[in-house]
Amino acid sequence: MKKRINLAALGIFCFALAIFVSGYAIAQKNLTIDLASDHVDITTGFNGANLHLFGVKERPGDVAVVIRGPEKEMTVRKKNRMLGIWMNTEYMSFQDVPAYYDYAISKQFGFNEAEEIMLRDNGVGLATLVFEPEDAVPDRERVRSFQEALIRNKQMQHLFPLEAKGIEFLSDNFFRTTLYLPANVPTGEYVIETLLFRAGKLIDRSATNLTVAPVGLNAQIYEFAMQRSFYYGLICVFIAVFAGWAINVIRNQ
Amino acid sequence: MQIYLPIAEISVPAETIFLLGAIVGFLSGVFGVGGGFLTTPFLIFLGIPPTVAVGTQANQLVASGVSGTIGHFKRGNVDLKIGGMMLIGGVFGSFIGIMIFRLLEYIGQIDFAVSMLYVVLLSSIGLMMLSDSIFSSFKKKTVKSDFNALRVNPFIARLPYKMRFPRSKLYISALVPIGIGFVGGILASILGIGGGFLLVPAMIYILGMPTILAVGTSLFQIIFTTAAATMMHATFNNTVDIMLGLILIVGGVIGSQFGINFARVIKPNHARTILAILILAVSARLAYELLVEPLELFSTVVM
Repeated sequence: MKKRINLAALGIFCFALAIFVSGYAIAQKNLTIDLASDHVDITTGFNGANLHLFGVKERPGDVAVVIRGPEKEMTVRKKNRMLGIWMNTEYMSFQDVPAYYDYAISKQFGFNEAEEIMLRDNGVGLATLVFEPEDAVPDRERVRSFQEALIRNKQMQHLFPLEAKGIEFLSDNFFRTTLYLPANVPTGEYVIETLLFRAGKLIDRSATNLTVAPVGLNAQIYEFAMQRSFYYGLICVFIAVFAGWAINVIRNQ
Repeated sequence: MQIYLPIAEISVPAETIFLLGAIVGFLSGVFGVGGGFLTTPFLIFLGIPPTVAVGTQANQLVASGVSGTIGHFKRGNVDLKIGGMMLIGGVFGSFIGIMIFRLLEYIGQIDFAVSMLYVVLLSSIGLMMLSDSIFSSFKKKTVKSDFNALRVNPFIARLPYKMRFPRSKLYISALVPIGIGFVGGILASILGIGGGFLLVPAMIYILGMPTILAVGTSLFQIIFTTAAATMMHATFNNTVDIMLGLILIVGGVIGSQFGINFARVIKPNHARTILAILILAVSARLAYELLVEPLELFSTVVM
């Protein structure tokens, strides 16, 4: 009984704290961002999409924008020559690897060592994409080679960037950046974070969500195939049988 | 025109897939082969995951199996009893094949296994066909048409569960057609091929069936084996992409029309030589990837 009262008290306290903190945040807002659209629709004709992000900063400073896709477990495999044939013989699994990552920074920013370290500490840039293998591997050199291969592979698929995108300032405070999501973009929930730095310090950050999901016919086919997979298979077979029959009818004419 | 494939989850140029379907349809019109052995490797070259390529291809083969069987059935070239035995083995084989497929995928060897099996099967079939067509164009010998049951291997003659197959005039163990169907089922689910190029010779040389009946009966059982493989790929692996399958099927319908007309013009021996060279080229391309050091040794997959 006592425990329940404690829990209730804790709940009220948290609620009050949340109101207080959010009020404070509004009052102190240095950075406001908005996406032209909070969702990317994968339609049948989908062939990649541009993502326009607009922002206003109330104080001077440098801006960085980071976009991260849903985190997944990834396995990196390495081919070796076995009896004259190249086949996968080694592998290493990494957890919580973002399925997509890209970033943009404002001009003349992030080029000295102090800024580089500051960006890295705040999750901006390729240097932050460091993952630990699922099973402890004592050989650091080996971990590094697989880790680098993971980034290289993702860059080849255009899911990790080769370098930073730029941020365009339309006035001193109003900025815009365009990120490109390729045709093979993984579906799921994305987080876009904008960070404001000044004099070697992070002074504000603001995040917004983006949903990348199939819509329309694509979504319906996907849902049906995943949830009613037996019936989906049956429909596929029926369509094929019908098509086979139709081919025959056409052929005989 | 780019089209997004809902199951493969990638965007591909629709024209390319359509063209691939049409070329394979053309070949099936000319040579009377299913063409699965060409579609699957090409889909993989185009960047479609091997698992989706195989699953979808199995589905497409149902269509070519049905269209091929109707004609043979009308002419009485299907031995339903042997076909029935084969499809029992075939459905069971598909099931085992799917299990092997899943295991290979899990340990990261599916690409290797698919390429390796293709190289072995295609190069041996291609060489056999090529030597056969060169040989026959020199000697002009007549191909022996029908075999009879007396020529059946003594080991096969001793197997139990003998049955009569009146249509093919055979008295052999039911285990033999079941076994051949079983191998066909495994091929359908691992490689996404009907396996006609392997089943037909097996039915002629091992069972001792007449050639024309062997072709019709193998097509008949391929319908069921590939349908079973499709159902299992869809249910257990979620790797049948209906969008991809439809484009391939439509391309195939149009291609096969041209193929049939072309078949009337070209000499059968030339056609066989061209097909043999084509098969060897695909197999050489796959062998090259296995034998030559790749530019990138590492690959990443989402688990």
